[in-house]
Amino acid sequence: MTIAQLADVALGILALAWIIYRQMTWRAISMGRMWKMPLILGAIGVFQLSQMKDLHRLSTLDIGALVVELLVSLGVGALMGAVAVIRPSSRADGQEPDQPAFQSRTGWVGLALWIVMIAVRVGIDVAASSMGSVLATATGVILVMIAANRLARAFVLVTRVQSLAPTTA
Amino acid sequence: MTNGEREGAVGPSGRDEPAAGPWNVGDERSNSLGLLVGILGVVIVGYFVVHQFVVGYTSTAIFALSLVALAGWLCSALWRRPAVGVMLPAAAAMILPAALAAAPSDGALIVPAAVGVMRLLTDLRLRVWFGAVAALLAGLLVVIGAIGTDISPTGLLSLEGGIVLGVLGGANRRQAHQAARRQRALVQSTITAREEHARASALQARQSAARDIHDVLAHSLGGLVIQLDAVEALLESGRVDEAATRVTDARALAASGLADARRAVETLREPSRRAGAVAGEEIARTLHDLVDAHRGLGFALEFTETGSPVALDADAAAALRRALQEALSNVRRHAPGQPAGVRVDWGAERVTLQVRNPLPARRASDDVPSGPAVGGGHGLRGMRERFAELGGSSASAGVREDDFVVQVELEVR
Repeated sequence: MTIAQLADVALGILALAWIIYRQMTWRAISMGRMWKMPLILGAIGVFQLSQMKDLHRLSTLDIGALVVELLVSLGVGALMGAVAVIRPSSRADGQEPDQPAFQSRTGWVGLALWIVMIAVRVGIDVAASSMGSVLATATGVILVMIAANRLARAFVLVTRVQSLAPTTA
Repeated sequence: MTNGEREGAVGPSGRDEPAAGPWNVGDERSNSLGLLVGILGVVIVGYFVVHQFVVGYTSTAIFALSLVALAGWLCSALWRRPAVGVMLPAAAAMILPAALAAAPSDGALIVPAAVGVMRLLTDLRLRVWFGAVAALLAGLLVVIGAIGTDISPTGLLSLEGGIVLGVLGGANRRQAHQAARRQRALVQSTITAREEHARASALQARQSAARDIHDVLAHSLGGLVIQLDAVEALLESGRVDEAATRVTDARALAASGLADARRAVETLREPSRRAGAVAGEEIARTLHDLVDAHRGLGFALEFTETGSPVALDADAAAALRRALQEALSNVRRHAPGQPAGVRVDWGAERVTLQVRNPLPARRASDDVPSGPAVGGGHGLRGMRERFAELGGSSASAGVREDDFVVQVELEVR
């Protein structure tokens, strides 16, 4: 194993630990931040894709793989938003008065959904690459996928919070 | 658990809608327009499907899928106000086979798929998940259907774009329907509030009528009872002449009571006639009449008047007259043996009426019958309510020193 591979593995483990931590802890539902992150990620992803040299060589296979990945990301994101547990923030937690009114936690199911999404992503990657896709392994695609996932989750969470507390909408 | 939470959260806005929910939003015209567009779409897409099959462009499997989709489309276009149990299978038959056959049919069948997604999203009886899941499935099936075809990348993107259009259109219509439903709820609650207000003012009018009737009846009938008691006593002791005088007095009292009752009924019937001012002299005359009637019943009364009479609103004048009437009836009922004092101060800004009578010395052991039991405490309460309604006026009743005092003050406007 080379040093570069070890670094990759270490980064992967770190990322996984970060994801696990995020799924297991209560996160405040902040309307602004929830939309900002996926929009920035998506913008960077689309920009990277547009910088690709062989963009004109995109095949129907590329588009198909991209569409499927996008749909899976959206679906998994919506599911994450749906299975998340929402609770009202309590003032007792030592919060600011302008803190968001609700917190959410996705839990183990959310973790499993992340793993499903990564598996689908890797699977399509491998399959499409072997069939000659040029787009599948691009970094931009990964970013767009994560953006779509977060966007769908944010949408579902916002809908749920608004139906819980119409006055805060 | 999360499921339960969602049920609770979405319940009021989504699921328990009666079957006619989203359909009564549009009028008949837009309904028949939708029917026309639906049938036209089925015919045009049907022509393409048949043509492609006849020239051998599409396989039998794709043709069969297309027919299922067209059947679903036709069904949901013709069926007005379908139940959810009909609407869901029709939409599924529209969306899933159509999405699968979209790429092989050169895109013709993306139309029913998109329309189906739009229908699912539009229907407020269904939760938004149905439409979202259908759209995701349709998107995936379009890609799967494209395997083995020579569709261009742009073509595939356009097909997915069709599904996206269906989603956007459906979301748009869903919001419009929700807004219309909120509007209806608002109108409903406005109507309810108006009805409640009408009920409240009817109740108020009834209370005011009850007050007027009480005042008139308590005064004239109470006086009559006293007069007739006296007549009875006089007749028993054989003093026929005096009894005849009493009867004449009683007749006069009954006549004035009747006139009073007529006036009250008339005012109740035409509330607008309450408006307008009443001349001071007229008010003073009615007060003097009441004082004379009290004296005529054989009670002692000391009457003082300061200042010169001023004009008052019809409501205020009636309240003043009724206050004196009620106070004098109370004196007759509760302190028949005591001399009463009535004082009227006509000020430029306020008119004050005070009726005072010494408290009866022996209340409990009093063997004199306490008079006709007309009233029962309604009188003073009615008086207070009446003055409270006038604004800027007040009425009070209570023991002051050794006297029972009823005092009312009226603002001159």
